Amino acid sequence: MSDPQLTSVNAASLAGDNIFKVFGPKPARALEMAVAGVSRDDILRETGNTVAVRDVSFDVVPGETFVVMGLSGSGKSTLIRCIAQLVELTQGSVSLNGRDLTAMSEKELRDVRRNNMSMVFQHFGLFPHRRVIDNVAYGLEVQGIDRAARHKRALEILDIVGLGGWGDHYPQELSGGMQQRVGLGRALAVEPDVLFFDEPFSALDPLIRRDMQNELLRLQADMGRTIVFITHDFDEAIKLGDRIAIMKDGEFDQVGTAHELLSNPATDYVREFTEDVSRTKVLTAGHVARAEKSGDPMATIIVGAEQPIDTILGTLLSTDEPVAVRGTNGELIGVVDRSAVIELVGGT
Amino acid sequence: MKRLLAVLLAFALCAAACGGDDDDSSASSGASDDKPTISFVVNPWTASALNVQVAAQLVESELGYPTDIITIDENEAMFTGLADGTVDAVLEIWPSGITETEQSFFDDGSVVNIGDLGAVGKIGWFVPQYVLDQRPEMASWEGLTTADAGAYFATAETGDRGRFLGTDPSYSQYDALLIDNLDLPFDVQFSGSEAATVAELDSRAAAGEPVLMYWWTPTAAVGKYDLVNVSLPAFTPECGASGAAADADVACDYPEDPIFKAVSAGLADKAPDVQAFLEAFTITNADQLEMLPAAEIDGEDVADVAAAWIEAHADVWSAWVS
Amino acid sequence: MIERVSRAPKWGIWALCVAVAVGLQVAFASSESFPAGLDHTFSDPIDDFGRWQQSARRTNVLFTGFFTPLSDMVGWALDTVESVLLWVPWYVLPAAIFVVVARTKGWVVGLIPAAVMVYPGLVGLWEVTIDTFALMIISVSIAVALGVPLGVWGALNTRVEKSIRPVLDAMQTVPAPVYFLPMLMLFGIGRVPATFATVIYALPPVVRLTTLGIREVPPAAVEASEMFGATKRQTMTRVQLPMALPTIMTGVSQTIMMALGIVVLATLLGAGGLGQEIMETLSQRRTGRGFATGLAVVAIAIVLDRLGRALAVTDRSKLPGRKVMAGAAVAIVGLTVFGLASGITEFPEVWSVKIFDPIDNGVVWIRDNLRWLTRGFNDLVVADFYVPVRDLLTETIAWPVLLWIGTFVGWRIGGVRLAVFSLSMMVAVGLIGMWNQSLDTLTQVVAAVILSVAIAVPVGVWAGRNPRVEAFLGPILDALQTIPSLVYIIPAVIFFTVGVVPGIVASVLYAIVPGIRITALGIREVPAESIEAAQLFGATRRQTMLGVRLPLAAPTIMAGINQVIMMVLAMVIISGLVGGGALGFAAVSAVKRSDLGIGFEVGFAIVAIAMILDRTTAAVADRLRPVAGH
Repeated sequence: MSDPQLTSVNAASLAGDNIFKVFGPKPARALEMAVAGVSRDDILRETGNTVAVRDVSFDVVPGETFVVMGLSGSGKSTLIRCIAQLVELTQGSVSLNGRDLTAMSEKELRDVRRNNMSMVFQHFGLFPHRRVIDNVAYGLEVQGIDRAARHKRALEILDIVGLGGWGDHYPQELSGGMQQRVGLGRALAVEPDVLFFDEPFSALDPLIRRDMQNELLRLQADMGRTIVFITHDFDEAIKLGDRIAIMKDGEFDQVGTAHELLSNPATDYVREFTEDVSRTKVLTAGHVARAEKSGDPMATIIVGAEQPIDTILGTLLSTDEPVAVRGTNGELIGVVDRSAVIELVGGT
Repeated sequence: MKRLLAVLLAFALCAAACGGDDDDSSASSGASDDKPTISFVVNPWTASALNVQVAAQLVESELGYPTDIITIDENEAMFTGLADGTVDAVLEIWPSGITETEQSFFDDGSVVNIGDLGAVGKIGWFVPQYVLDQRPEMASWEGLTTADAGAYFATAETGDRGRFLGTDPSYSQYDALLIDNLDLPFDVQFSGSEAATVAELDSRAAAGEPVLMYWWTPTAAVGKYDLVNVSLPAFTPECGASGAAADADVACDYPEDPIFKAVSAGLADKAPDVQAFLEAFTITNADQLEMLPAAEIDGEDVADVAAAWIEAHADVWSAWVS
Repeated sequence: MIERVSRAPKWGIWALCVAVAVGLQVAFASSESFPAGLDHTFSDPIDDFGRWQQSARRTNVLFTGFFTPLSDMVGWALDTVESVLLWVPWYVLPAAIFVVVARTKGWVVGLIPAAVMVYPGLVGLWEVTIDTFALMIISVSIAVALGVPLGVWGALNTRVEKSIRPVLDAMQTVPAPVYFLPMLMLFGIGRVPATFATVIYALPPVVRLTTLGIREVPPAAVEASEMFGATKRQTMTRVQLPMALPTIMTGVSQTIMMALGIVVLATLLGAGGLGQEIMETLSQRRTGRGFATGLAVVAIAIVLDRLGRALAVTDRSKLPGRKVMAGAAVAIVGLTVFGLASGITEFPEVWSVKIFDPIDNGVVWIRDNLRWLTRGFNDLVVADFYVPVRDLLTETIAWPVLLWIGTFVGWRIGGVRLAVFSLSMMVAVGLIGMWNQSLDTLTQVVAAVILSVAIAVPVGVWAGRNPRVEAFLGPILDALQTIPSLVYIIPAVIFFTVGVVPGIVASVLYAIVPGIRITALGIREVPAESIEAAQLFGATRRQTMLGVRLPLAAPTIMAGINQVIMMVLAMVIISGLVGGGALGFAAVSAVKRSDLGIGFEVGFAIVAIAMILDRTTAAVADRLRPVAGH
């Protein structure tokens, strides 16, 4: 199943630096106020401008899946468009592998888009007048790759995303989930270093959504690309994200791993999201392990650090002793107490 | 694919079968490729169309030029077309209709008068004979002066005054001035087009309703509807009428119009033999009246009517082409 | 704005209006008609310019360097298309139409336009039809070639769109013949000025709908294309234009319909073709033949419409293979060669034209037997409406009173802006000496609008409630909109007599089409829940209609009435051809006599009436719309 061209990792680093985006008639004045820390509502009242993104900075390391989670109106959609340069930043910069995207000419940016990045859209953004195969091949087509070569590549991609044999159909003949597979395939076909996902699964049924999430995890396990993923679904964020940024009113409230957010929410807003999450599903043995203390009894049972807590519950309950947690290379990370897990299950 | 071809083939066969007996009608059979196209102006009345058809068919068949016939009102645009060579010839210009601007084209030499057509036109006021049967005094304008005469021709729109039916505004007419200066109880209502005038005449004649209108000879309608020319004060050059721009005090009949032909100044170089042909070209009132009923009353195609005339009068036109 | 105005006590405001009007009437009772202070002020320079351009045509670089070459180019294109179409054997054209349409729509659908194309030949109109067909192909091509890029530009640039829109509005309000004179001036006589007049008249729909179509492309599709590094041009040609194509094609078919409306009138420019044929035929009172010729115009409409739709198909999956198309191409070339070689190229005269004689006989029968009805109707409209109202407006009521009432009504309906606009337009019309003629035309327009609305609204309501009625009316309405009105206006003269009535009747026949269609749409769009709610409360059918359906459909119906008014105004020039007098006759006269100055004044007066009525009815429609956000 795995395709050699997908497994080769050529992921990129991506960084945003003090990004501001203001919509409206007098952006300069509004920006000044935003930098000075005036509230969004006050700026809107005074200048008629909306501050959609305010002073956002981040670093995404190669191969990382960085999820931006926020409710509607939080500015997450604008942020990803700023990162992808689909809208112009009011202030700040975005760099890909150290190259400043905001300083590029139109042509340079076009080359970066053709070779280094692509995007999957919320409502798919498919081209209804093109067959599935020509949708998938679109990125290659605009690069000027000849028809035979791009169709060959598109057929491979269709197999990878599970749409083998559907190439000659038109998008509207496909179900929603299949359409988004086309969108995914279209993004993968150009072998990007970084992939942007703008709420790609929010328009899908819950079951289909779960399938697609698993599909993405599977693909990402193979290809290890740098991913920026936008969602309004906190469960989706902790399922997919290596790190998660919680966005509110155009700003990042907190950035961290799922464990960091759950165990140490920075604001009440973040805490509200974490409350309903089933921790035992999210947290792994590694997350709750503590360092071995001198008085500890000898741990005879060993679990893997990456195992979610709910898979080791039975093991923990069967013994009074701490359980040892080992990393992927067999090194000892620490131990897990039953008491720690009971506290977790009981809730904070 | 086979079905498609079969359909096309059937189409072709049918076409061949239906059209098999009709391959000799090409009007331009005598035209050769290297000769320029001669463009004739035709004005929107039947006599003009007949004259042009006779000339154009002869130019094609006897002189070998392709021809083109362009319909346009008798107005300044027609003269502009002649002056810049868009069109080459016009065969029926009524002198009474020449405006000052139009005259300037003759004066600067860009349009050339090449002599009379032969037919003499006469614009005037006409009533159907049945009007005179009831009101014999209306054969002359003096019979139209009374309020009663006005009421006789009144319509819903003119109230108690008489309705005088004017025509296509591009035709030269100054009836409103005549009515004013002769102090007649009439208002002019313009039909706006010859088609509307004829429709109105037809409708009125069918019911025997009175109508007083602008019309002219030679036309077939005069015979068909038995139209009679109402006599107006006799035309004299002094009485005020001077072409289309009639003086405000005009109070006499329209003049007789010796119709003439004109060509673009460039025709003499473009096709000298056509120029010579057109100079000799002559159509008289008798010729027109011979052709007009077939076209205007029987509704035959003007091209066919002209062809029939050519067929019957080889003795007349052979002199023009030699 | 509206809130504030309507809060004032109504009777007080209107009492004030009446008081001022009475005062003005007393003060100006003995005054003459509107002082035409600016008569000749504009027309004389325009006439001078007209005279200047006559000599300048041969010398001025504007003509020698631009208009004349442009004219030559278009003339060449017209000649080429026409001579090719006449050179190939006649059956090649229907065959080619069949292949093009059948290629995307299936061979059954392809047969329809092919068969329709044969019709003009059967009634002996092949060559004149080809003449008009060529003119249509070239004008519609130019309109699309100009309109689509313009529409795209408007879609990409809001500022451009904002500056184009009022021009397009004006182009749609200005009655077409107003363009005729400038075209005569710039391009001389014949088919070339007719082509340009047609292009200008028919351009707005394709521009508007291209802009709309491009705007309606989902932003995600455009972003997606951009994200893959497509250039702006690639995004436009590969994503935006293809996705907007169905909307653009709707614009193109509207453009075709508008172009057909004008090519017939273009006979006034010396364009020849079917328009000329219709005019000549009608001069000979051959109504049946005129009808046959009108149907040839309808045939062109059908063929061009189907061709456009067939060419616009984007779904390439269902196209026949290359072999089939190659076979078809070979077959067509074969047909051509075969025809040329055997000399079987001209349309055989197989069908006697006599089949239209029943129409001629019918006209004569109505003329002789229904005179009491037609003439009675004529005299009723003329004596009891037209003459009294016209005299009231032009003689009895002093002009300042009319200015005051017009301004006041504008203010009440559309606020200060509309009041100022109406006032300045009325004053301008008066100053250039068109006051009485405009009021005369206005009287005729009002008569035609009243009759149209009286027919269109009930019929539209009926059609809106009963799909079967609507299906039955569909083809009739299509025919009314496509058959050139000249065809039925001359018989109307025979029935009603020369005067205002034939023009009014023709306007009504033309204008009820959008009136019925839009009313039916409005009735159909009333939400089902509203009707059900009324029925639950026990409303009778009559109560439901008067209390729910009509009020909810009112804004749409008002928009329909607005269309009715515009259509009636478009027919003003036609009424000038059958004795309607006033502005219509002045326009006909100006075009026929090449009177540029008068043409300009008449054109301005018609446009002024059109814009005042358009904005006023649009404002009424706005007020009827339920206020949002309460």
